[in-house]
Amino acid sequence: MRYISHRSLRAVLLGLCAVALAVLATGITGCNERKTEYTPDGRVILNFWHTYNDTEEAELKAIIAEWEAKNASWSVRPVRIPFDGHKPKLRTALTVGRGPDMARVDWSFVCELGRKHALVDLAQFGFDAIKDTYLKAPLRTNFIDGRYLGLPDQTTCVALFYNKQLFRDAGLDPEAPPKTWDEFVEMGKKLTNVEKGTFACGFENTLWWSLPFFNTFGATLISEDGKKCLLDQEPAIRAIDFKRALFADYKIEAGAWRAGSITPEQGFANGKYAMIFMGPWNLPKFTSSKLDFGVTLIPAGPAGTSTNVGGTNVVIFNTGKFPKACYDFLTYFTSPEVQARWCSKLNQMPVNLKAYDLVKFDDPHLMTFMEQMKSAVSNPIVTSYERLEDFVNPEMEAVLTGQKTASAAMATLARKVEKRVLSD
Amino acid sequence: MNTHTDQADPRTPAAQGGSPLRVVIFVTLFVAMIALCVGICGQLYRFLTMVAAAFAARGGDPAKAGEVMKNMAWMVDALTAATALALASIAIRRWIATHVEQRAAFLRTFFLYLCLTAGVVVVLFPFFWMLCTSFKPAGTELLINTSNPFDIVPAEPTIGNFTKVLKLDAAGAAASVDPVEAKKNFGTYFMNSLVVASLAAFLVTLFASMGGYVFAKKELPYKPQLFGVLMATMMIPGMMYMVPQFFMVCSMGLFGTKLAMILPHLASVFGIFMLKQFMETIPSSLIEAARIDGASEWQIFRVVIIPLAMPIILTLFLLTFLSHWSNFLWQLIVTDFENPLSITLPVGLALFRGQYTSDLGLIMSASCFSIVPIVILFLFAQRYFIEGMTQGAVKE
Repeated sequence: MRYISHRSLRAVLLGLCAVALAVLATGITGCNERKTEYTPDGRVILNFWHTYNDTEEAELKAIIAEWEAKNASWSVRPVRIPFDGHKPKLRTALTVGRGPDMARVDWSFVCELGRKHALVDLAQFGFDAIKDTYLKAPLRTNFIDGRYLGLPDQTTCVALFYNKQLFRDAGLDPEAPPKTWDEFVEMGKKLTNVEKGTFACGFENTLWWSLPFFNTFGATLISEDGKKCLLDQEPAIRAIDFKRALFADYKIEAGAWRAGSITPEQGFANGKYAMIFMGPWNLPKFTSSKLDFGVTLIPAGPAGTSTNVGGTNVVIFNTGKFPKACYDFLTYFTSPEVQARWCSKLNQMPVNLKAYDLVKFDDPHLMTFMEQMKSAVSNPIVTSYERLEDFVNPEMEAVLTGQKTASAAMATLARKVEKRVLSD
Repeated sequence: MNTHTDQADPRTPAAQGGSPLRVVIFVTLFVAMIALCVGICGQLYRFLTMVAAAFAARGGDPAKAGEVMKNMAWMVDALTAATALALASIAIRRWIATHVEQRAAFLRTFFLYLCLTAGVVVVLFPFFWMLCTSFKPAGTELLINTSNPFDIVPAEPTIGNFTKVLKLDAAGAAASVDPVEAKKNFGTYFMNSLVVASLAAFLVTLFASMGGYVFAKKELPYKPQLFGVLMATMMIPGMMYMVPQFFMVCSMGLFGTKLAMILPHLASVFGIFMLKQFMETIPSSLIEAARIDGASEWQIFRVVIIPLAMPIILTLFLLTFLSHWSNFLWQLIVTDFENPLSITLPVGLALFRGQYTSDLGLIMSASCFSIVPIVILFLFAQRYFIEGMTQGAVKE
């Protein structure tokens, strides 16, 4: 049997270590170098990573062409990356210095990027002068530790979708959907027919989808300074207890949040759930399925009607050499005229208040969303929104399934969130 | 006492006491078989007519395709009825032809086949759902047929999802003006994935075979300790390596290349472990005999070890191919989205998913193509795969 000697093995191991160190050393010097790129006609290229779909990307390119025509020194290079995975893609790219100059990111990602000192404070470019032109709730998701670190480029929220045919079948006026939670419950009792398998409503049970409940009950989830979790306060407890009652006491909610259940979207599309929370992104789908439906404001609670905030923001990275040019492009991109054109063409809600009067929609339901957006309350701003959901969702489910009372679950949850989420 | 008359003859049907029961069981199984046949064949024939109608309809119009389908409905019913009749006659003929004493065994086999058929339906249903959804027009993917929830074949099909995925539609033709955009299509992503997965699977298998052989059959200093260190690395989650590996890949100038997707995963500790376990079962006397016959180390490895370890090697090849074929995160991280030649299938498919919505029809139509290599590989290597999985699991 042939043996490999200790000496040769040691030499091989030492050699491998040397190669690994050499590779790392070149990596340290090589990866962080970022050269300015130019177009053939000498313009500086600004890399913009986005997650738009085919139609939106085509419109984006047209807007870029317009901006470049007015700004001869710059060229924006749009690079499309998948929304799924844009966070790890950006995290790793920024870690090794290969990030873009600017990017479109999920609203919940701005806080993490900001607290990791990856973003440029927009105040240096005079953002304070124009910040009031943006919708408050989406803009608030960019306000991290007293600084505006991004601006909204696309916003959305949920409203109440209702099936007009099921309203008629239950003897209700399809043009008079519920305006308050009390009316919602009353109508819900008439709309529920367990034998037929139809329910008044079906809801998701994640935090984001539950925010309309919290907001209509006037609950604040995280304190202004971001250090205290207020889920154990009376409004939050009442909100989650009301959601529980819809399922357990009034029995008008289908339990669509349970694993294996028909999802709200599918239940609504198939006439199983009469009312659901849904965003404008599904309007084309429901319309093309020839469903007779309407959209109305979220029923008012003690704090009136309200909703959550979704969508994306655009941010500028401090690794880029030309943040001012990026800022100029992004403010142009979100300016009233450009927003009005973008939103009218793509049937989306504008982020710029001045664009509200300029937009024209093919789908009238979008006007309800624009109305709903005015009462939106900003989502909780935490470094890791995913982790917040990881803690909140199981506790809310424990309440809905009757394993815990709302007050007990929220009391435990608040301490847990403070310790594990807000301490970052 | 005449015991002969008191005791029943075990060979006669009446004496067996279970004959009417067996008839009842047969009838029950027969009805179940017909119901299964009608259900399966009805959906299959409907699916085939749907595909024909979708391709026949001009301009991919779902309404026109729906009309064609309606006109072909009688054909579906006739074919289903014919298949059910044929199956029924076979079952009845077999039942009659089976000797009374063997009918219990016949019923057991009948029951087993029915269960297996039901099992096949359960296993293949997601694939069938995928195929059907890929023909559904946008917005109707989640709609359920209220009159028959099990009927998942779309009534108004379209081939629009396929033309869009393959960029054969008008938008795709417009994009083809730009040479870079033209390459951003499913075909490119598919080929990229095929190259990455095949090359990675081949190299991982090769290196793991060599490593496994050394750890199983060769003597070297600190072998148990070295193997222990290797095994210990399996306890570290792969996510921990991601940033350092990305760092190294970038420093090597490999960002956005296929090599970047393969290189960091070539040393598979799991593969070495799996092959070592198997190779330890190969008798050392074979190696000694080969050495006495004058075989070199390479010849022993190539002529003795590799052929004997082929089932486990093919299993590792399949597993590695699968993991690289569906690897999303690492491939996403090292992808240069400006270079279509670095975009693989899982990453390309992710482009169909948005923040709140997914183009289900497009995803499903793309998935129809993406499963083809996996299906082919499994069909050709399933025998080895099952053999390898069981052999690698035990050490005798």
